[in-house]
Amino acid sequence: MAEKASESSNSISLNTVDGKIFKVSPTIANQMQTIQSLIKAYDSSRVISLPHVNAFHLSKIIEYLEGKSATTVSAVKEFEAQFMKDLSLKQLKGLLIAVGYLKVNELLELMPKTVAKLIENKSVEFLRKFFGIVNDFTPSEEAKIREEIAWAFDGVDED
Amino acid sequence: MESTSMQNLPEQLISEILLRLPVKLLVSLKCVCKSWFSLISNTEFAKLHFDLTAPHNHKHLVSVSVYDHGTKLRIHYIDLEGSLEDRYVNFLSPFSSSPLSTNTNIHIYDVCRGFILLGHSLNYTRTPLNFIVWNPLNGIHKMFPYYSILSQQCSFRCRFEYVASRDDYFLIIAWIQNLQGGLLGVKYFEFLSMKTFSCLQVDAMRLPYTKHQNWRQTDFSFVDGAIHWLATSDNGHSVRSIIAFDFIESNVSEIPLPQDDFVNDPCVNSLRLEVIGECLCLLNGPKEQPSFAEIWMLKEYKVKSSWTKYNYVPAYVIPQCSFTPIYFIKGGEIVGLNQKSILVKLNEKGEQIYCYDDHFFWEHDFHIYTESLISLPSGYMQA
Repeated sequence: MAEKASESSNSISLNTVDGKIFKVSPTIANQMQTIQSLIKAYDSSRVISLPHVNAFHLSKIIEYLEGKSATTVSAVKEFEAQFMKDLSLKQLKGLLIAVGYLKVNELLELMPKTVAKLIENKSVEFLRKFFGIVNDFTPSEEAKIREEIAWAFDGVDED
Repeated sequence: MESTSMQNLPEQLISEILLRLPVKLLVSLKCVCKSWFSLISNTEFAKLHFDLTAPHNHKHLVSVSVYDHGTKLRIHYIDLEGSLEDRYVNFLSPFSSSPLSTNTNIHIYDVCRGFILLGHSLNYTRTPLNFIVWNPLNGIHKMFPYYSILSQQCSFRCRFEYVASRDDYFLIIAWIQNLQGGLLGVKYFEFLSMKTFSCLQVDAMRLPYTKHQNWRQTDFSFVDGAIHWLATSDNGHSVRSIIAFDFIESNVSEIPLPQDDFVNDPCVNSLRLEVIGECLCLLNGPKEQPSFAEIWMLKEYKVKSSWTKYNYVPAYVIPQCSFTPIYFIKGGEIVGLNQKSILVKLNEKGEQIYCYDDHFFWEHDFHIYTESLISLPSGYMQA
């Protein structure tokens, strides 16, 4: 009991935008660079507010940081694959923004890679829709670019 | 799927995603919008993309030909990592201002980090009228007016190499001459910086060891900012070693060979020095029948204890053992030329698993290419 108390006194409290308090160990907290620098700047006993992160996203990040400490390389790979598979696209986007804000390096590697896999071999039109981008080229500007890089459009899905 | 799922993603995160896309898709995404166009064309982005993706990219053997009335150059790719399948891609010709005639003999001299060093000449002579450095994927290119002097009656070997410590590319030319006894040898080296266009000339005959070297005189291997060749010193008893000339620091050093009687026997003249997968390698013929031919690979540059021996072809498979290795694949597979000059891939037991029998190859035709979007260094005027 006493041991547990000293452990929790070491732990860091994080308050998400939707008002949930998470207690995490320093090992977990330090893997989020943004929090690491906040701990250095403030008294660590304080509750750290995260105005850009909600409880779902923080719980997912903690789940990842705890889960990827598996013993073998293949177990980590399996865990990462399952972790990414469980997320819907909407969740993926929200989590990616949270990960970018908190600077969780390993997820900043894994998540863009996952999105990149999703859009491999997709067309320009698909990706404009996917990222909600407005084409600001005039038709003739775009035609000129397409002509210069015609080779890059061989064998691309047009859906 | 929800089509609007990734809307309004911060630019930094979009960049992180794009950095992990294959290079061909990335090029096609230049026409998504203006901000993507400039991101994908950005020099720093291209370097990061290369560092992140190049280790996993498939390496290809490439060759080039004039296509579509000279307005395009066609690159022929053979995938070394896969089953040696090939494909053709037609790029806008960097010679667009003066289209090449279809009987122009265009030739790849070297490749480096997505760049191709091309030379072209008429009448099927091998002396180029012009050198051009070209990255087909972003169209960036530069002609070397300087080397119009190549028309002089002198043969040469040339390389295009990247020196990380300077973040610069160099055109390296070895000018060949006849030495005493009818041998060919390097007369002098030229190192032309792409950043400053300054040219360093080095009298090869004044470098130590060069005059003792007695086979494959004209060949040199480039790795880690230095050129290398095999040499034998004759200070009483012949000692064989690899000589490294670092032209940036202007120093010459010696790399000891592995502890192996055969490699160190100066009477053995089948030994060759090559660079395979960015490591210096010694290639050995078979010692006796039946036996294996060997490759010694210096896994860590200048660390003698990192010499590692691979047996690559059982001699009974190829009796004369004229197998020429070209490229190693992790897991023990090897690509090379068999005795009929046909490209084959062997497994770790030396058994042929794939072959590319469309045409024959010459030894100097091998350019192992990795695609990139890299530009030439800053301070560098484009054509």
